[in-house]
This record gives sequence, C-alpha cells and structure tokens, in this order.
Amino acid sequence: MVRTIPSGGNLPIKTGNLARSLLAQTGSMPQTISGKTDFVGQDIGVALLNWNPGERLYIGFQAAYARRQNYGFVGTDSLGRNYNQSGFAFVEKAVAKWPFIVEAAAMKVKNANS
Amino acid sequence: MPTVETKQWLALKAHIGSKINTIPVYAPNDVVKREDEAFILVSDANNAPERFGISNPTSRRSGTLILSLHWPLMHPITYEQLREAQGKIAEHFPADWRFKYDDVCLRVTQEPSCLEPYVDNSWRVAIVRVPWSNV
Repeated sequence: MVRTIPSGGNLPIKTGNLARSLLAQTGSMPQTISGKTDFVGQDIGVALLNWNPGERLYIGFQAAYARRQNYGFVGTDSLGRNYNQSGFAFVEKAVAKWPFIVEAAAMKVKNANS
Repeated sequence: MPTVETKQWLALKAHIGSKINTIPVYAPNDVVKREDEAFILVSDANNAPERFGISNPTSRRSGTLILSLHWPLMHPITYEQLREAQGKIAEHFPADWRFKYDDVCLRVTQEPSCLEPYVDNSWRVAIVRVPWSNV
C-alpha cells in the first residue's frame, strides 16, 4: 500500500508524507490528523509484534488529504491551491491485490518448512 | 483500433452515459465547469493484469470504477436523500452485469459498495465503488 507510482506501486508521491502517514494498529482504525503534519513513518513490524493471529489489524492513512488523493478532489484547498483530479484509488488497488499477497506469503512459508 | 485498456474504459463509459443522464458526469481528466451544482466525478482504477499459468496466454484484468457524487453544501439535502441518490447510482451496476465494447466484455463482480458520505470543502461526497473484471 505504500509502494509509490515511480516504484511500481499505486501511491502518488511528492514528498513521501502520504506514504509515511500509513499506520497499522490493533483496536481501532487510525484517525485522520487534520492540518499540516509531517509524518515520520511506521515500522509495521513493531505493530505486528503487538498483534495476535485472529485479531483484527487496522491499516489506514492519517494524512488529511489521503481521501482526496484516493477518491479525487475538485475545488480549492485551505492553501488556495485549485484541484480538479480523479482519484488514484490506491486503497482499492491494494485490496484487490491482497488475496495474492497472502497466497504468495503462505506459499513462501510452506516452501520454507518443506 | 483501440487497445484493450481503451476498450475497457469505453465499455464503462458507454454504460455510465446510457444510465446516468440527469446529472453531469465528469470522466478522468475532464474539467469540472460549475462548482455550484451536483455532479459525479469518475475515477477509473485498473489493477495490474494477472496471468494464471504459463500455458494460459490470457490475463485476468480487473479494476474498480469509482463514482463520486458531489453535492454542493449550499444546496440542502437530507442524509436519506443523499443515500438514496447514492443507491440509485449503485442500482445501475448490479452484480454480474456485463458491459461490452468491441471484443472486450467486462462483468460487475459484486454489488457496488456505497461508502458513508462525508463533507469535503464545499461538497458532500458520496462514493460508489463498482468492482469489475474481464470475461
């Protein structure tokens, strides 16, 4: 989900802040943080250490503009910039890929144990 | 002769055009002309083609058509009315519905999902997601 378009993924990139705003956590969906925020990024491995198999893991973007990037935006933002763009749909593309990611990971583990 | 990518989009576009004609629809790259009336912004998301097996020369192509209903805040609308408008858009894309353009045929793989409407800037936005794949 954080692989950017220049790297073969689907996430648009200018400064990398959107990618760094991705957060994985248990308990509840990550909340959007309004206003200009510089995100440091998260090591998902740490989140997985606190995760138990069978438990729900929530993954979401905290950047306030993530939804606009995903679904498109028309109008003027708070900084006076005009937008007229369709969405990149990077969340939908990641969701569509998810079964194959899981299948590949399962195959990797199976082969390692055989 | 258009490529498969173009034909896929044209199949979706033709269906949208035939079903939604009471509200302006803006395709990707279109410029929204009026910001004081409701409209639908279309996003055309294509997944990477998947090939199943070396012996199979064809790939499975899929994607999500995203229809974002934008309703100006200046025009009052109840939550029920907005959900109904969203549902009406979704009704045009029933599961297993097929769209054709030339030799390309796409199928709606499951019922469209209508996301919870939200307010963004001067709009109420209600998203309808339509997953499709080739046949």
